[in-house]
Amino acid sequence: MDVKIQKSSFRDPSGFLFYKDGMLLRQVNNIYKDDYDYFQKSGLHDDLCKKGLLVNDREVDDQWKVTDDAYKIIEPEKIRFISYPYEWSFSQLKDAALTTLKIQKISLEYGMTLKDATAYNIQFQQGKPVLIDSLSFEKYHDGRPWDAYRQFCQHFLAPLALMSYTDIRLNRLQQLYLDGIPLDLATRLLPSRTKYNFSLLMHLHLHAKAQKKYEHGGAKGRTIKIRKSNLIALIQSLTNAIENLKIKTRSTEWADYYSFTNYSEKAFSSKKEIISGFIEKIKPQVLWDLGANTGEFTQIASRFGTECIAFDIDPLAVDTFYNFIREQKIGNILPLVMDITNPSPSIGWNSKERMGFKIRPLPDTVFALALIHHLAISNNVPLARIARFLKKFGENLIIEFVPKTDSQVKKLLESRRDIFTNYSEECFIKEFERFYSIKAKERIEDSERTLFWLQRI
Amino acid sequence: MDWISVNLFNFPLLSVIPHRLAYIDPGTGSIIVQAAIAAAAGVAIAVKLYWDRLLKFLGIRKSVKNEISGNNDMSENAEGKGSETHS
Repeated sequence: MDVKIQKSSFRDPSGFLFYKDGMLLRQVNNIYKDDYDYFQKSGLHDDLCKKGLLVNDREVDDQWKVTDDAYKIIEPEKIRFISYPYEWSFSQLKDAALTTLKIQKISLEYGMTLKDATAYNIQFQQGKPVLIDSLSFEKYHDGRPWDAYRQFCQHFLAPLALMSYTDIRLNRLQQLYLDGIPLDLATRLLPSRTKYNFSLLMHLHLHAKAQKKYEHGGAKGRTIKIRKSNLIALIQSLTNAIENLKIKTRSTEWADYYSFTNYSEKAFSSKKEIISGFIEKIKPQVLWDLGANTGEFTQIASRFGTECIAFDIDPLAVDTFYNFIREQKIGNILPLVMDITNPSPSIGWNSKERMGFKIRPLPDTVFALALIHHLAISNNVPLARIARFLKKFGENLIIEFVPKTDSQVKKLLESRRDIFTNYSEECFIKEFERFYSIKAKERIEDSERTLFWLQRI
Repeated sequence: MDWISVNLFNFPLLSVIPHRLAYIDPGTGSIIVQAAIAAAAGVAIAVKLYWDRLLKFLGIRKSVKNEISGNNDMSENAEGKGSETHS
Protein backbone atom coordinates (compact mmCIF):
# COMPACT_ATOMS: atom_id res chain seq x y z
CA MET A 1 0.00 0.00 0.00
CA ASP A 2 1.49 3.30 -1.04
CA VAL A 3 1.09 5.06 2.26
CA LYS A 4 3.45 7.56 3.82
CA ILE A 5 2.88 8.58 7.38
CA GLN A 6 3.46 12.29 7.90
CA LYS A 7 6.87 12.66 9.53
CA SER A 8 5.86 14.80 12.47
CA SER A 9 2.65 12.93 13.27
CA PHE A 10 3.69 10.29 15.77
CA ARG A 11 3.38 11.58 19.34
CA ASP A 12 -0.35 11.48 19.89
CA PRO A 13 -1.86 7.99 20.15
CA SER A 14 -5.27 9.39 19.21
CA GLY A 15 -4.38 9.26 15.53
CA PHE A 16 -2.01 10.42 12.81
CA LEU A 17 -1.75 12.07 9.42
CA PHE A 18 -0.74 10.15 6.33
CA TYR A 19 -0.50 10.51 2.57
CA LYS A 20 -2.09 8.07 0.17
CA ASP A 21 -2.08 8.58 -3.57
CA GLY A 22 -1.46 12.27 -3.17
CA MET A 23 -4.30 12.74 -0.64
CA LEU A 24 -3.68 13.96 2.88
CA LEU A 25 -5.74 11.93 5.36
CA ARG A 26 -6.04 11.57 9.10
CA GLN A 27 -6.67 8.27 10.85
CA VAL A 28 -8.68 8.59 14.07
CA ASN A 29 -7.87 5.67 16.35
CA ASN A 30 -10.37 3.78 18.48
CA ILE A 31 -8.88 5.18 21.69
CA TYR A 32 -10.20 8.58 20.59
CA LYS A 33 -13.71 7.38 19.63
CA ASP A 34 -15.67 8.87 22.55
CA ASP A 35 -14.01 12.25 22.41
CA TYR A 36 -14.24 12.39 18.62
CA ASP A 37 -17.97 11.65 18.67
CA TYR A 38 -18.53 14.21 21.40
CA PHE A 39 -16.47 16.78 19.46
CA GLN A 40 -18.76 16.30 16.46
CA LYS A 41 -22.12 15.90 18.19
CA SER A 42 -21.70 18.77 20.63
CA GLY A 43 -21.37 21.15 17.69
CA LEU A 44 -17.89 22.33 18.71
CA HIS A 45 -16.31 21.07 15.49
CA ASP A 46 -18.77 22.91 13.27
CA ASP A 47 -18.65 26.06 15.37
CA LEU A 48 -14.85 26.27 15.17
CA CYS A 49 -14.85 25.58 11.41
CA LYS A 50 -17.50 28.20 10.81
CA LYS A 51 -15.50 30.77 12.75
CA GLY A 52 -12.40 30.02 10.69
CA LEU A 53 -10.51 28.76 13.75
CA LEU A 54 -10.21 25.10 12.75
CA VAL A 55 -9.25 23.73 9.36
CA ASN A 56 -12.15 22.15 7.49
CA ASP A 57 -12.32 18.41 7.16
CA ARG A 58 -14.71 15.69 6.09
CA GLU A 59 -15.11 12.03 6.90
CA VAL A 60 -14.15 9.66 4.13
CA ASP A 61 -14.51 5.96 3.52
CA ASP A 62 -12.47 3.83 5.89
CA GLN A 63 -11.06 1.80 3.01
CA TRP A 64 -8.13 4.20 3.43
CA LYS A 65 -7.33 3.03 6.95
CA VAL A 66 -3.70 2.26 7.64
CA THR A 67 -4.11 0.01 10.70
CA ASP A 68 -6.98 -2.00 12.16
CA ASP A 69 -7.08 0.36 15.08
CA ALA A 70 -8.85 2.94 12.91
CA TYR A 71 -12.18 4.35 14.05
CA LYS A 72 -12.60 6.91 11.28
CA ILE A 73 -10.66 8.39 8.39
CA ILE A 74 -10.98 12.10 7.77
CA GLU A 75 -9.65 14.31 5.04
CA PRO A 76 -8.53 17.72 6.26
CA GLU A 77 -8.17 20.70 3.95
CA LYS A 78 -4.55 20.96 2.85
CA ILE A 79 -2.53 23.90 4.06
CA ARG A 80 -1.13 25.66 1.02
CA PHE A 81 2.28 26.42 2.55
CA ILE A 82 3.59 24.91 5.78
CA SER A 83 5.54 27.29 7.98
CA TYR A 84 6.93 27.04 11.49
CA PRO A 85 6.89 29.32 14.56
CA TYR A 86 10.59 30.13 14.20
CA GLU A 87 9.76 31.61 10.78
CA TRP A 88 6.95 33.79 12.07
CA SER A 89 7.18 37.42 13.00
CA PHE A 90 6.07 38.73 16.38
CA SER A 91 2.49 39.50 15.32
CA GLN A 92 2.09 36.16 13.59
CA LEU A 93 3.06 34.29 16.75
CA LYS A 94 0.87 36.62 18.80
CA ASP A 95 -2.14 35.95 16.57
CA ALA A 96 -1.42 32.21 16.72
CA ALA A 97 -1.37 32.44 20.54
CA LEU A 98 -4.63 34.36 20.70
CA THR A 99 -6.25 31.88 18.30
CA THR A 100 -5.21 29.00 20.56
CA LEU A 101 -6.65 30.72 23.63
CA LYS A 102 -9.85 31.60 21.83
CA ILE A 103 -10.28 27.97 20.80
CA GLN A 104 -9.69 26.84 24.38
CA LYS A 105 -12.28 29.32 25.65
CA ILE A 106 -14.90 28.18 23.13
CA SER A 107 -14.09 24.52 23.81
CA LEU A 108 -14.77 24.97 27.52
CA GLU A 109 -18.19 26.38 26.65
CA TYR A 110 -18.93 23.10 24.88
CA GLY A 111 -17.51 20.95 27.66
CA MET A 112 -14.19 20.19 25.96
CA THR A 113 -10.59 21.28 26.42
CA LEU A 114 -7.39 21.30 24.37
CA LYS A 115 -5.03 18.54 25.38
CA ASP A 116 -2.06 20.31 23.83
CA ALA A 117 -1.15 23.89 22.93
CA THR A 118 1.79 23.54 20.61
CA ALA A 119 2.54 26.28 18.11
CA TYR A 120 2.98 23.54 15.49
CA ASN A 121 -0.76 22.91 15.62
CA ILE A 122 -1.31 26.32 14.09
CA GLN A 123 -0.75 27.07 10.41
CA PHE A 124 -1.54 30.11 8.29
CA GLN A 125 -4.31 29.70 5.74
CA GLN A 126 -5.83 32.59 3.81
CA GLY A 127 -3.51 34.88 5.72
CA LYS A 128 -4.86 33.88 9.15
CA PRO A 129 -3.85 31.38 11.83
CA VAL A 130 -5.94 28.17 12.05
CA LEU A 131 -5.75 25.05 14.18
CA ILE A 132 -4.90 22.06 12.03
CA ASP A 133 -5.21 19.24 14.56
CA SER A 134 -8.80 18.17 15.07
CA LEU A 135 -7.67 15.49 17.51
CA SER A 136 -6.48 18.07 20.00
CA PHE A 137 -9.76 18.06 21.88
CA GLU A 138 -10.77 15.99 24.87
CA LYS A 139 -13.82 16.04 27.10
CA TYR A 140 -13.52 18.47 29.95
CA HIS A 141 -13.98 16.94 33.38
CA ASP A 142 -14.99 19.34 36.07
CA GLY A 143 -12.09 20.40 38.22
CA ARG A 144 -9.35 19.18 35.89
CA PRO A 145 -6.42 21.55 35.41
CA TRP A 146 -5.38 22.49 31.87
CA ASP A 147 -2.75 19.92 30.80
CA ALA A 148 -1.55 22.17 28.01
CA TYR A 149 -0.73 25.17 30.21
CA ARG A 150 2.98 24.42 30.40
CA GLN A 151 3.19 23.94 26.65
CA PHE A 152 1.30 27.17 25.99
CA CYS A 153 3.69 29.18 28.16
CA GLN A 154 6.74 27.68 26.46
CA HIS A 155 5.51 27.83 22.88
CA PHE A 156 3.78 31.20 22.98
CA LEU A 157 4.13 33.37 26.06
CA ALA A 158 7.88 32.94 26.60
CA PRO A 159 9.02 33.64 23.00
CA LEU A 160 6.63 36.58 22.67
CA ALA A 161 7.89 38.08 25.93
CA LEU A 162 11.47 37.58 24.76
CA MET A 163 10.76 39.32 21.45
CA SER A 164 9.01 42.13 23.25
CA TYR A 165 11.39 42.72 26.16
CA THR A 166 14.74 41.38 25.07
CA ASP A 167 15.19 41.27 21.29
CA ILE A 168 12.87 40.85 18.32
CA ARG A 169 15.32 38.44 16.71
CA LEU A 170 14.72 35.85 19.41
CA ASN A 171 11.90 34.24 17.40
CA ARG A 172 14.68 32.11 15.94
CA LEU A 173 15.39 30.58 19.34
CA GLN A 174 12.37 28.33 18.79
CA GLN A 175 14.33 26.57 16.07
CA LEU A 176 16.62 25.24 18.81
CA TYR A 177 13.86 24.34 21.24
CA LEU A 178 11.15 22.44 19.45
CA ASP A 179 8.93 22.11 22.50
CA GLY A 180 9.02 25.81 23.19
CA ILE A 181 11.57 27.85 25.14
CA PRO A 182 12.42 26.28 28.52
CA LEU A 183 11.06 28.68 31.12
CA ASP A 184 14.25 28.80 33.17
CA LEU A 185 16.14 29.96 30.07
CA ALA A 186 13.45 32.43 29.08
CA THR A 187 13.28 34.00 32.54
CA ARG A 188 17.06 34.26 32.66
CA LEU A 189 17.07 36.14 29.35
CA LEU A 190 14.22 38.48 30.26
CA PRO A 191 15.10 41.79 31.93
CA SER A 192 14.25 42.01 35.63
CA ARG A 193 11.60 44.66 34.99
CA THR A 194 9.38 41.84 33.69
CA LYS A 195 9.00 40.82 37.34
CA TYR A 196 6.97 43.99 37.85
CA ASN A 197 4.49 42.84 35.26
CA PHE A 198 2.06 40.71 37.26
CA SER A 199 1.15 38.30 34.43
CA LEU A 200 4.73 37.66 33.42
CA LEU A 201 5.70 37.31 37.06
CA MET A 202 3.10 34.59 37.51
CA HIS A 203 3.04 32.75 34.19
CA LEU A 204 6.78 32.89 33.54
CA HIS A 205 8.92 33.64 36.59
CA LEU A 206 6.89 31.82 39.23
CA HIS A 207 6.10 29.09 36.74
CA ALA A 208 9.82 28.57 36.06
CA LYS A 209 10.54 28.30 39.78
CA ALA A 210 7.72 25.80 40.26
CA GLN A 211 9.02 23.68 37.41
CA LYS A 212 12.45 23.61 38.96
CA LYS A 213 11.16 22.77 42.40
CA TYR A 214 9.13 19.81 41.18
CA GLU A 215 11.34 18.63 38.34
CA HIS A 216 12.13 15.42 40.18
CA GLY A 217 8.49 14.72 40.98
CA GLY A 218 7.69 13.87 44.56
CA ALA A 219 4.11 15.04 44.67
CA LYS A 220 1.78 12.76 46.60
CA GLY A 221 -1.54 13.33 48.28
CA ARG A 222 -4.85 14.75 47.19
CA THR A 223 -5.61 15.69 43.59
CA ILE A 224 -5.51 19.30 42.48
CA LYS A 225 -8.82 20.64 41.33
CA ILE A 226 -9.42 23.92 39.55
CA ARG A 227 -12.91 25.31 39.42
CA LYS A 228 -14.16 25.91 35.87
CA SER A 229 -14.73 29.60 36.50
CA ASN A 230 -11.15 29.93 37.72
CA LEU A 231 -9.87 28.06 34.69
CA ILE A 232 -11.72 30.51 32.47
CA ALA A 233 -10.19 33.34 34.47
CA LEU A 234 -6.75 31.80 33.90
CA ILE A 235 -7.35 31.70 30.14
CA GLN A 236 -8.45 35.33 30.29
CA SER A 237 -5.33 36.20 32.23
CA LEU A 238 -3.16 34.59 29.54
CA THR A 239 -5.14 36.39 26.83
CA ASN A 240 -4.56 39.74 28.51
CA ALA A 241 -0.88 38.98 29.00
CA ILE A 242 -0.44 38.16 25.30
CA GLU A 243 -2.48 41.11 24.08
CA ASN A 244 -0.42 43.51 26.16
CA LEU A 245 2.85 42.37 24.62
CA LYS A 246 4.09 44.72 21.93
CA ILE A 247 7.27 45.31 19.99
CA LYS A 248 9.07 48.59 19.60
CA THR A 249 8.55 49.95 16.13
CA ARG A 250 11.96 51.56 15.85
CA SER A 251 13.28 50.85 12.41
CA THR A 252 15.66 48.02 11.77
CA GLU A 253 17.86 48.00 8.68
CA TRP A 254 15.10 47.44 6.19
CA ALA A 255 11.81 48.61 7.62
CA ASP A 256 12.22 52.12 6.27
CA TYR A 257 14.33 50.94 3.38
CA TYR A 258 12.30 52.67 0.74
CA SER A 259 12.66 56.07 2.34
CA PHE A 260 16.43 55.86 2.28
CA THR A 261 17.26 53.91 -0.85
CA ASN A 262 18.21 55.42 -4.12
CA TYR A 263 14.83 54.81 -5.75
CA SER A 264 13.42 58.09 -6.86
CA GLU A 265 9.66 58.12 -7.37
CA LYS A 266 10.25 57.73 -11.08
CA ALA A 267 12.52 54.73 -10.57
CA PHE A 268 10.09 53.14 -8.17
CA SER A 269 7.14 53.33 -10.54
CA SER A 270 9.32 52.26 -13.47
CA LYS A 271 10.36 49.16 -11.54
CA LYS A 272 6.73 48.38 -10.70
CA GLU A 273 5.67 48.82 -14.31
CA ILE A 274 8.35 46.54 -15.68
CA ILE A 275 7.57 43.82 -13.15
CA SER A 276 3.84 44.09 -13.87
CA GLY A 277 4.58 43.57 -17.52
CA PHE A 278 6.56 40.40 -16.76
CA ILE A 279 3.88 39.07 -14.42
CA GLU A 280 1.17 39.58 -17.02
CA LYS A 281 3.10 37.41 -19.44
CA ILE A 282 4.14 34.73 -16.92
CA LYS A 283 0.76 34.43 -15.12
CA PRO A 284 2.36 32.72 -12.10
CA GLN A 285 0.42 30.29 -9.85
CA VAL A 286 2.81 30.32 -6.92
CA LEU A 287 5.50 32.90 -6.34
CA TRP A 288 8.30 33.23 -3.79
CA ASP A 289 9.57 36.74 -3.19
CA LEU A 290 13.10 36.44 -1.78
CA GLY A 291 13.98 39.57 0.18
CA ALA A 292 10.42 40.92 -0.01
CA ASN A 293 10.89 43.60 2.67
CA THR A 294 7.47 45.18 3.24
CA GLY A 295 5.95 43.62 0.15
CA GLU A 296 5.54 46.47 -2.33
CA PHE A 297 6.47 44.21 -5.22
CA THR A 298 4.94 41.01 -3.85
CA GLN A 299 1.60 42.72 -4.20
CA ILE A 300 2.05 43.12 -7.95
CA ALA A 301 1.81 39.34 -8.19
CA SER A 302 -0.79 38.90 -5.48
CA ARG A 303 -3.14 41.34 -7.19
CA PHE A 304 -2.90 39.09 -10.17
CA GLY A 305 -4.28 36.21 -8.08
CA THR A 306 -0.94 34.47 -7.49
CA GLU A 307 -0.30 32.59 -4.26
CA CYS A 308 2.67 34.44 -2.77
CA ILE A 309 5.18 33.62 -0.05
CA ALA A 310 7.24 36.67 0.92
CA PHE A 311 10.53 35.96 2.68
CA ASP A 312 12.73 38.51 4.40
CA ILE A 313 15.55 38.41 6.93
CA ASP A 314 14.25 41.42 8.83
CA PRO A 315 11.62 40.41 11.42
CA LEU A 316 10.31 43.95 11.72
CA ALA A 317 9.75 44.29 7.96
CA VAL A 318 7.92 40.95 7.94
CA ASP A 319 5.84 42.08 10.91
CA THR A 320 4.91 45.34 9.19
CA PHE A 321 3.92 43.48 6.04
CA TYR A 322 1.89 40.90 7.98
CA ASN A 323 -0.05 43.58 9.86
CA PHE A 324 -0.79 45.30 6.56
CA ILE A 325 -2.05 42.02 5.09
CA ARG A 326 -4.32 41.38 8.09
CA GLU A 327 -5.70 44.87 7.92
CA GLN A 328 -6.39 44.65 4.20
CA LYS A 329 -7.73 41.09 4.56
CA ILE A 330 -5.43 39.80 1.83
CA GLY A 331 -5.74 36.03 1.64
CA ASN A 332 -3.04 35.03 -0.82
CA ILE A 333 0.18 36.30 0.75
CA LEU A 334 2.14 34.66 3.56
CA PRO A 335 5.12 36.69 4.80
CA LEU A 336 7.84 34.80 6.68
CA VAL A 337 11.17 35.54 8.34
CA MET A 338 13.97 33.76 6.49
CA ASP A 339 17.69 34.29 5.99
CA ILE A 340 18.37 33.16 2.42
CA THR A 341 22.03 32.61 3.26
CA ASN A 342 21.06 30.35 6.17
CA PRO A 343 17.54 29.09 5.48
CA SER A 344 15.50 26.83 7.76
CA PRO A 345 17.07 23.38 7.93
CA SER A 346 15.24 20.07 8.39
CA ILE A 347 15.09 19.43 12.12
CA GLY A 348 13.45 17.47 14.86
CA TRP A 349 13.30 13.72 15.29
CA ASN A 350 15.49 11.98 12.73
CA SER A 351 15.99 15.42 11.17
CA LYS A 352 12.71 14.98 9.36
CA GLU A 353 10.03 16.31 11.66
CA ARG A 354 10.10 19.91 10.45
CA MET A 355 10.84 20.43 6.78
CA GLY A 356 13.73 22.51 5.57
CA PHE A 357 13.26 25.40 3.23
CA LYS A 358 14.09 23.48 0.04
CA ILE A 359 11.74 20.60 0.83
CA ARG A 360 8.60 22.71 0.83
CA PRO A 361 6.52 22.71 -2.35
CA LEU A 362 8.40 24.88 -4.81
CA PRO A 363 6.98 27.89 -6.68
CA ASP A 364 6.86 28.39 -10.43
CA THR A 365 8.18 31.96 -10.20
CA VAL A 366 10.74 33.68 -8.00
CA PHE A 367 11.48 37.34 -7.36
CA ALA A 368 15.07 38.20 -6.46
CA LEU A 369 14.71 41.95 -6.38
CA ALA A 370 17.37 44.17 -4.80
CA LEU A 371 18.90 40.97 -3.46
CA ILE A 372 21.89 39.96 -5.55
CA HIS A 373 24.33 42.54 -4.20
CA HIS A 374 23.56 41.42 -0.64
CA LEU A 375 24.39 37.84 -1.55
CA ALA A 376 27.38 38.55 -3.78
CA ILE A 377 28.97 41.41 -1.90
CA SER A 378 27.79 41.40 1.74
CA ASN A 379 27.92 37.60 1.84
CA ASN A 380 30.74 36.94 -0.62
CA VAL A 381 28.74 34.37 -2.57
CA PRO A 382 30.05 34.01 -6.15
CA LEU A 383 27.53 34.69 -8.92
CA ALA A 384 27.91 31.13 -10.19
CA ARG A 385 26.69 29.76 -6.88
CA ILE A 386 23.82 32.20 -6.71
CA ALA A 387 22.67 31.08 -10.16
CA ARG A 388 22.93 27.40 -9.22
CA PHE A 389 20.99 28.06 -6.01
CA LEU A 390 18.17 29.99 -7.63
CA LYS A 391 17.61 27.59 -10.51
CA LYS A 392 16.26 24.97 -8.11
CA PHE A 393 13.32 27.11 -7.19
CA GLY A 394 11.20 28.05 -10.13
CA GLU A 395 10.87 28.04 -13.87
CA ASN A 396 10.70 31.82 -14.00
CA LEU A 397 13.07 34.18 -12.24
CA ILE A 398 12.64 37.93 -12.12
CA ILE A 399 15.93 39.28 -10.88
CA GLU A 400 17.33 42.76 -10.48
CA PHE A 401 20.99 43.23 -11.23
CA VAL A 402 22.51 45.95 -9.03
CA PRO A 403 25.85 47.12 -10.47
CA LYS A 404 28.83 48.65 -8.67
CA THR A 405 27.81 52.08 -9.91
CA ASP A 406 24.66 51.87 -7.79
CA SER A 407 24.77 53.94 -4.61
CA GLN A 408 23.76 51.03 -2.36
CA VAL A 409 26.65 48.92 -3.63
CA LYS A 410 29.01 51.84 -3.20
CA LYS A 411 27.85 52.01 0.41
CA LEU A 412 28.51 48.28 0.88
CA LEU A 413 32.00 48.67 -0.54
CA GLU A 414 32.79 51.81 1.45
CA SER A 415 34.48 50.11 4.34
CA ARG A 416 36.03 47.12 2.61
CA ARG A 417 38.42 46.20 -0.16
CA ASP A 418 36.79 45.61 -3.55
CA ILE A 419 37.75 41.99 -4.22
CA PHE A 420 34.76 41.49 -6.49
CA THR A 421 36.45 41.55 -9.86
CA ASN A 422 33.83 39.17 -11.29
CA TYR A 423 30.85 41.21 -10.18
CA SER A 424 29.49 42.87 -13.31
CA GLU A 425 26.50 42.63 -15.61
CA GLU A 426 28.54 40.67 -18.18
CA CYS A 427 29.58 38.09 -15.58
CA PHE A 428 26.05 37.96 -14.24
CA ILE A 429 24.66 37.19 -17.70
CA LYS A 430 27.37 34.63 -18.38
CA GLU A 431 26.69 32.72 -15.12
CA PHE A 432 22.92 32.81 -15.37
CA GLU A 433 22.79 31.87 -19.05
CA ARG A 434 24.17 28.49 -18.06
CA PHE A 435 20.76 27.70 -16.51
CA TYR A 436 18.37 30.25 -17.93
CA SER A 437 17.47 31.99 -21.17
CA ILE A 438 16.89 35.73 -21.06
CA LYS A 439 13.26 36.41 -22.00
CA ALA A 440 13.47 40.12 -21.31
CA LYS A 441 15.85 42.70 -19.99
CA GLU A 442 14.86 46.25 -19.02
CA ARG A 443 16.76 49.07 -17.40
CA ILE A 444 14.85 50.78 -14.58
CA GLU A 445 14.35 54.45 -15.37
CA ASP A 446 16.35 56.92 -13.34
CA SER A 447 18.42 54.09 -11.86
CA GLU A 448 21.58 52.06 -12.44
CA ARG A 449 19.65 48.80 -11.97
CA THR A 450 18.38 46.36 -14.61
CA LEU A 451 15.51 43.91 -14.36
CA PHE A 452 15.80 40.50 -16.02
CA TRP A 453 13.09 37.98 -16.73
CA LEU A 454 14.85 34.62 -16.94
CA GLN A 455 13.34 31.27 -17.85
CA ARG A 456 14.96 28.02 -16.83
CA ILE A 457 16.25 25.95 -19.74
CA MET B 1 9.79 37.24 44.98
CA ASP B 2 11.17 34.22 46.70
CA TRP B 3 8.91 34.58 49.72
CA ILE B 4 6.06 33.76 47.32
CA SER B 5 7.61 30.52 46.20
CA VAL B 6 8.53 29.60 49.76
CA ASN B 7 4.93 30.00 50.88
CA LEU B 8 3.31 28.65 47.77
CA PHE B 9 5.27 25.49 47.51
CA ASN B 10 5.18 24.43 51.14
CA PHE B 11 1.56 23.45 51.45
CA PRO B 12 0.68 19.72 51.50
CA LEU B 13 1.97 18.06 48.41
CA LEU B 14 -0.56 17.41 45.72
CA SER B 15 -0.82 15.08 42.79
CA VAL B 16 -2.26 15.06 39.35
CA ILE B 17 -3.79 12.02 37.74
CA PRO B 18 -3.20 12.26 33.99
CA HIS B 19 -6.20 11.96 31.71
CA ARG B 20 -6.12 8.74 29.68
CA LEU B 21 -5.72 10.72 26.45
CA ALA B 22 -3.11 13.18 27.72
CA TYR B 23 0.04 12.48 25.81
CA ILE B 24 2.16 15.48 26.70
CA ASP B 25 3.72 16.02 30.10
CA PRO B 26 1.66 18.64 31.89
CA GLY B 27 4.44 19.11 34.43
CA THR B 28 3.80 18.88 38.17
CA GLY B 29 5.17 22.36 38.86
CA SER B 30 3.05 23.76 36.01
CA ILE B 31 -0.13 22.28 37.46
CA ILE B 32 0.60 23.65 40.91
CA VAL B 33 1.36 27.15 39.67
CA GLN B 34 -1.66 27.01 37.39
CA ALA B 35 -3.94 26.24 40.32
CA ALA B 36 -2.55 29.17 42.29
CA ILE B 37 -2.86 31.62 39.40
CA ALA B 38 -6.34 30.38 38.46
CA ALA B 39 -7.51 30.93 42.03
CA ALA B 40 -5.98 34.42 42.12
CA ALA B 41 -7.37 35.28 38.68
CA GLY B 42 -10.80 34.03 39.73
CA VAL B 43 -10.74 36.25 42.80
CA ALA B 44 -9.51 39.24 40.78
CA ILE B 45 -12.33 38.88 38.28
CA ALA B 46 -14.94 38.48 40.99
CA VAL B 47 -13.66 41.57 42.79
CA LYS B 48 -13.67 43.60 39.58
CA LEU B 49 -17.18 42.44 38.72
CA TYR B 50 -18.60 43.37 42.11
CA TRP B 51 -16.72 46.67 42.15
CA ASP B 52 -18.24 47.56 38.76
CA ARG B 53 -21.70 46.56 40.00
CA LEU B 54 -21.23 48.66 43.11
CA LEU B 55 -20.25 51.68 41.05
CA LYS B 56 -23.24 51.15 38.79
CA PHE B 57 -25.52 50.84 41.84
CA LEU B 58 -24.16 54.09 43.17
CA GLY B 59 -24.70 55.69 39.77
CA ILE B 60 -21.03 56.39 39.27
CA ARG B 61 -20.63 54.13 36.23
CA LYS B 62 -23.16 53.61 33.45
CA SER B 63 -22.90 49.87 32.77
CA VAL B 64 -21.12 46.79 33.97
CA LYS B 65 -18.26 45.99 31.63
CA ASN B 66 -18.31 42.51 30.22
CA GLU B 67 -15.43 40.96 32.15
CA ILE B 68 -14.99 37.72 30.34
CA SER B 69 -15.10 38.80 26.69
CA GLY B 70 -11.63 40.36 26.67
CA ASN B 71 -10.37 42.85 24.12
CA ASN B 72 -10.08 40.52 21.22
CA ASP B 73 -8.05 41.02 18.07
CA MET B 74 -9.36 37.77 16.77
CA SER B 75 -12.98 38.86 16.65
CA GLU B 76 -12.66 39.11 12.88
CA ASN B 77 -12.23 35.36 12.86
CA ALA B 78 -15.70 35.14 14.29
CA GLU B 79 -17.08 37.05 11.37
CA GLY B 80 -16.29 34.25 9.01
CA LYS B 81 -13.15 33.05 7.41
CA GLY B 82 -13.58 34.62 4.00
CA SER B 83 -10.75 36.84 3.02
CA GLU B 84 -10.53 37.81 -0.58
CA THR B 85 -7.72 36.87 -2.85
CA HIS B 86 -6.10 40.19 -3.41
CA SER B 87 -6.95 40.89 -7.05
